[in-house]
Amino acid sequence: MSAISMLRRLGRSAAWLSIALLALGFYAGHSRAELIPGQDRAQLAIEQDKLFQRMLREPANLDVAFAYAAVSAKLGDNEAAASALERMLLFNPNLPRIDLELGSLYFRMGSFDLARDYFNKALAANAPPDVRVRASRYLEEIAAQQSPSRFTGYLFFGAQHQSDANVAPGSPLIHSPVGDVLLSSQFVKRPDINIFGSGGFLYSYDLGTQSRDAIEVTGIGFMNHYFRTQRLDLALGEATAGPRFNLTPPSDSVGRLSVKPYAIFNEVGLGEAQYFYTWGTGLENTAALWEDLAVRTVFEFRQKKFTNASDRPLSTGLDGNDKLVTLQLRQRVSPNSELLGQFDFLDQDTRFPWYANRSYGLTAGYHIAYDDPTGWTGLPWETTVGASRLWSLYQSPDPCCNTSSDPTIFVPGKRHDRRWRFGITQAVPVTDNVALVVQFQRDIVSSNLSLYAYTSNSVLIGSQIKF
Amino acid sequence: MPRVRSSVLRVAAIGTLVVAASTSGAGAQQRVGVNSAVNPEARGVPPGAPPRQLVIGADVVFKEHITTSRQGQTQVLFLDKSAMTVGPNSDVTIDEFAYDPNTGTGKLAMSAAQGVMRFIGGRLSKNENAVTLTTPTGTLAVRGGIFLAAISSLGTDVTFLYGNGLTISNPFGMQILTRPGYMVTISSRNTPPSEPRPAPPGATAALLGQLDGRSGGTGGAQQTPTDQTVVSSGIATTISGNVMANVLTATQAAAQQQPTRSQPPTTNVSAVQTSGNVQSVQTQADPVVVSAAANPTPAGTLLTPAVGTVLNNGATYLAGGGFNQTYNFGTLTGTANITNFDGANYSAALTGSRTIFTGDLSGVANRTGFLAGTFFGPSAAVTGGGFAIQNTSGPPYVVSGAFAGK
Repeated sequence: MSAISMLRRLGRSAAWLSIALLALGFYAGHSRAELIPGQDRAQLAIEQDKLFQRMLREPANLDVAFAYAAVSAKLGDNEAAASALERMLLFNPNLPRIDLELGSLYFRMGSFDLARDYFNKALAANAPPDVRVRASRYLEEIAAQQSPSRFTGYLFFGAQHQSDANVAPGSPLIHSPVGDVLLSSQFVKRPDINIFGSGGFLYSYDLGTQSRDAIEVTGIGFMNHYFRTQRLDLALGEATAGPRFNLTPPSDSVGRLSVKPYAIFNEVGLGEAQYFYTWGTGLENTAALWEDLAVRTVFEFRQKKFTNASDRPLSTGLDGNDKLVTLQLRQRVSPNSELLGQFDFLDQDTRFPWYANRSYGLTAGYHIAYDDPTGWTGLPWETTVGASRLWSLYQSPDPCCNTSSDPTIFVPGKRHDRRWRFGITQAVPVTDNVALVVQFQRDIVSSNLSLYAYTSNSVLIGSQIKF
Repeated sequence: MPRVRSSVLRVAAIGTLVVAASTSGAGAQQRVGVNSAVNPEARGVPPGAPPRQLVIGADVVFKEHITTSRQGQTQVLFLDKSAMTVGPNSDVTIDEFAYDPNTGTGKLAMSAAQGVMRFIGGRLSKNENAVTLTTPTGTLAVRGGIFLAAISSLGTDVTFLYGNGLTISNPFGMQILTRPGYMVTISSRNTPPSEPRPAPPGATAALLGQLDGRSGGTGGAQQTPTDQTVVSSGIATTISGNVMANVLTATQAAAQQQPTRSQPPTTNVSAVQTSGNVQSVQTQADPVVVSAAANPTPAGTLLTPAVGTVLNNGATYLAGGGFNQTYNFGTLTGTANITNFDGANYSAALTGSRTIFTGDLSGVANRTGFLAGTFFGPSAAVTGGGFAIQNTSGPPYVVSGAFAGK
């Protein structure tokens, strides 16, 4: 059994598993951090101010100090809470319970070294059993948080319906070099349903520098299985690896500046057969400008090697290389929403000159998170809407089609595609790390060569699990 | 009233500065906070006033010079909610304090000659360069954070504990600490600050030992907290009790501290096909597409896949037209079209075998025809044959021709 076949079987199993996970998502329990509504928060802030003024007058009043620490902690003002509790240790340094609370506060702040010092101090003292248990639990969490290795990712399973699953023209008529011909029905637009499984991960290894330089390894995987159009079943896996260097910003208006060179390898199967593999390299730069504008630029070079199959004997004509330039901007417009803008330029150089093309794309999107309107889970819902426009200009006349107005004279034309894509994605969290995702997308591709024009609407529903 | 610095005057002049004031034994002094805990011996010297023993609840005033003995400790709680804990054998002066409680703006400048201290930022520290501590070897400027400083004749060790950043500078260089648990040493005023490095294990714990009280000390409180006091306060319910919520908060805080927040890559499931050139290969099983790509027809070629001799009411001439054909090798049926042949279009429903096919041509009134052909080449990619057409009534019209297609 070939590796591709094994992957496909796994993909099918995983995709079917998605249906079960979808159901599971509805019934799973949840845990989450407590959130303070805005009105309560304002009240707490007023109370904190009052307690602070009282503390200035009565710094030895323990009740006031504890109340101030509690209110500050509820507000997330962990520094203020810590200053009050550290004073308790000046009053009595042998209080493991205070050490535990201070450790917890610094743990919340992500100051794990200091938190560990306080937890260890609590354990070293003659601490009550409940304090020992809790301090030990936090120490385990610190060990996990401080591990130089981190692994995050997601799995996404579901089903999708596409009105044009085979990305084919709506009309079977093409103006071929041998005259007008009708495409076989399998090459004409037809709807289909597929089940899919996809995922992505990021593994990072902290190199221990103050700037948190790291080695990053990323991976994505995707498999789907059509009920009818199985020759277009797709399976892909891609991995990148490289160091990310965080640089000192050149000015106050620039933050989180980083550069990451990386290597790329991917493997793609189509219709249960090897389709192509890629090796290449990339360079990513990220920066935050004026605190709320995230900029990301990418340059990638990919060498692609295709393999023919019985139902696509010309695939090797796509052998060649891709050069990709991406500029992505994310502008935060409110604490819970952002605008996305992206420009892409892709230069595909191929063995068959009529497959070579240069594509220019513009994307605009908007993402917002908001309170659960149903109140079922209390977790924020997320909506993303977007639109994109892509122009693909092919470099050489395509011999597939005759563009002459006189059907007896063959005049091939350079393919020129234009694509509109509209999409909306709704994520409904079921737990902190499981969400139900529904997406609608419409692709409208027009082309001067009718063979390549199509319109497809897709709707998918899936369950996403983050880890 | 002491002479305040010009920057303070400027702020006051625009009417936004509010400085709390109180009366001390040395006369009217500008109050900057209170001594919120004191383990003797700790002394303060307000400007123009004699030294005094610091006691809990006493005001700390502008320009006050605070020193502690070998056992002494104190915590100064500033009006902006900042707190500075001063350890034994320390020497600290409040050089400048200006605070507008309405806007949270102003400045806190301190200097320290020696000792150990921990600063926890309040409202002022949320502003850039609003809080500074000058030591004999350099200056620290913290933003929104917490740091530890140990100053001795060997230099200044600074450990960053939390916040946006801590800038350490002197005339010979500058470093910025941004990672909690990392430290910098400034050995002298004539050498640049060291490169940031992780604080050695046990270093912060040793400093905490000098700051978090001392055995027998009560911090000046008449009623000292006990284990039972802490239990009764219920503080654990608010802070340490919800471990999972704290883990989430810590994870978010750690992510905030990351200079770059990398995320796992994503795929657009609805668009993954288009990124794989699937559209360009999906019709490649079609013989016409394969033939066109494998043997491209030169541009400008005259395409006459259907050619025939026409006898038309006494005239004889050659005509050409298009030809296309579909054929289902499963049902052994198909269609053939001869287009634009002598100004007319004909079609035929085909039947046959896997190699040959026939059909009757129709498409023009009072005219009938016949077509027969065969498939050639690998995958039956080429087709060819002959056809005939004639009028059933009216002027004589007879065609005898051949067709070919790929």
